[in-house]
This record gives sequence, C-alpha cells and structure tokens, in this order.
Amino acid sequence: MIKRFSRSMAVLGSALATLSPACAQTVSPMEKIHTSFTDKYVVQITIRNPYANGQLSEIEIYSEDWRPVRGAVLSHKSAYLGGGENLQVTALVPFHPGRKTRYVYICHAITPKSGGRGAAYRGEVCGKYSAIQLS
Amino acid sequence: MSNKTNKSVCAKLSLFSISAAMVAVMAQSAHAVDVDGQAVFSGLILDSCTVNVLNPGLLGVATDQAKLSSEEIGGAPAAAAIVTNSNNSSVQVLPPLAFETAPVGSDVNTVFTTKYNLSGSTTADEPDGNNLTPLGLGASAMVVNAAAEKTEGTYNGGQYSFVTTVRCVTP
Repeated sequence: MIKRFSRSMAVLGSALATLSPACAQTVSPMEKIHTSFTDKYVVQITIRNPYANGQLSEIEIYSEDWRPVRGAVLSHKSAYLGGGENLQVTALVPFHPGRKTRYVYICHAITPKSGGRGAAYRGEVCGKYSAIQLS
Repeated sequence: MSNKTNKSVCAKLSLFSISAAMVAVMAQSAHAVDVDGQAVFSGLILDSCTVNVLNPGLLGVATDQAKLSSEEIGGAPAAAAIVTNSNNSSVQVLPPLAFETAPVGSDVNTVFTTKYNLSGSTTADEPDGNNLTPLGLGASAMVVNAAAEKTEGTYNGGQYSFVTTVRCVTP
C-alpha cells in the first residue's frame, strides 16, 4: 500500500514537473450557459495542447446521451497544435425541434505519440454547454 | 433695556448662533459621511481540467491466450495526471470498441474492460472504468488497467493495440 502510494506520488511529482497547473487547461471554459433568439446557438471554447511536443488534437461534439449531434457544425474537427499552443474552436449547435433548451458536450482529445507497444491511451476533456432559446 | 440685559441677550444670541452653526456643520458632516463611494472589483476563474497521459502501458498475454491485459505477466498499467481547478469535474476511463491493430478476427467475441485508481486530491479505486468519479480540486494521479478478453476462442499470434480514453467531463 505504501509502495503503491509512493509510486503514485512519484508519478504525480514527475507529471507536475512537466505540467504547469496554473496554465494547463485543455478546454476552456468547461461549462457555460448560452441564450439565443434563433434555432441555433454558438459555443466558443479554447483548447490547449498541454504536452511539450506537438500533438494532433481531435474535437468532437456529443448530445446529452453521448451520441453525435445532427446538424452541428465545428470550425475545427482536428488540428495539429505545437507544444503549449492554444486554438479557439467555434461550434454551431441546433436546438431540438420543439424544445427551448438543450446541452451538448464538446470534447478535446489528444492521443499522445508513444513508443510503447500494446495498449495506447488518449486523454480527453469534455465541457458541457447548455442554451436557452428566447422567443 | 439695560446694558446688562442687552449683554446677556447678545451673549445668548451668540451662543445660540454658534450652536446653530455647529449643528449645521455636524449635520452636513454627518450627511457627507453617509455618502460612500464604491469601487467594485470583479474577476473570473474559468473551470479547467487537464488530462496528461504519461505512459501508455503494455498488454501481457494470459497462458491460455484468451486474454490480453495490462495485469497479466509482461503487462504494465498506464499512468495519467489529471489537474483541475475546481470540484466540478468527473473522470472515467472508456474501454475501446475494437482493436486498433490486431490480426483479422480478433474483435470477434472480444469484451474490452478498464479499471482505474486515483490518488492525490482524489482517492478512488474503481473496478469499472465506465463509472464516473468526481474529482477534487488539484492534481490526481491515475493508474489505468485495461483488458481484452475472448468469450469464445483465443487470440492468434500478432501485434495488438487498442486505444482507451481517459475522459474528464463536467457531468
């Protein structure tokens, strides 16, 4: 237990050495409520590559039940960002027909390049963006 | 009216005038103190969550070749560092739907599973990676294990890999 804890702390220590918590954010903001007078609303987020090297970022938009959003448009579905670089992404999201509120998840994922064999892992951060249609 | 009376009246009038003036000044001062200016300071801290995959892990093979897992001999778990600046986020580890690299037929009758544990600002031991764990504010170290297991049959020789997603989300 102590060994496992020490190992976890060592992993955390090395992670913190390479990552600056104050500046490191991969999706910003993580949550926002919007209002719209039309049948669509606009979401703007900033994504960031927290790794030291350039990585391929993938951006996806999901509905409340984690399915693709029909009719949604993203300014970027993927982008190659240099180490520590930001990118602003804009999404146009339609309301459900007949409903005045909805929320979606916009996710930013990076599968970091690795020299390992077997399993690979990707990090993904998803923000929640809701809206109210005013009419 | 005698001089003495005049002087007395004058003194009283003067005293009255002075008192009235003092009251007026005090009233004005009191009125001035009640009017306060306000300087408003505002700021915004945006919620953030960062997932940093530190090492990818390795798959080991079970002796019956029906299971590929980071917990088998020759395997190794993956590690990730998660940093949040609020307690509004949760984390989960999503198993893949299919192999990314594998011999033909490997996906047939295969079930993918994940599990994770957290230490640091969040402590948890989750046997099902699909379950969300609320994150505390600060840095958490995550150790992830993943497996692919045949419900029927075995895995053939060849190169295998799959991608598991460590997701931080505002639920």
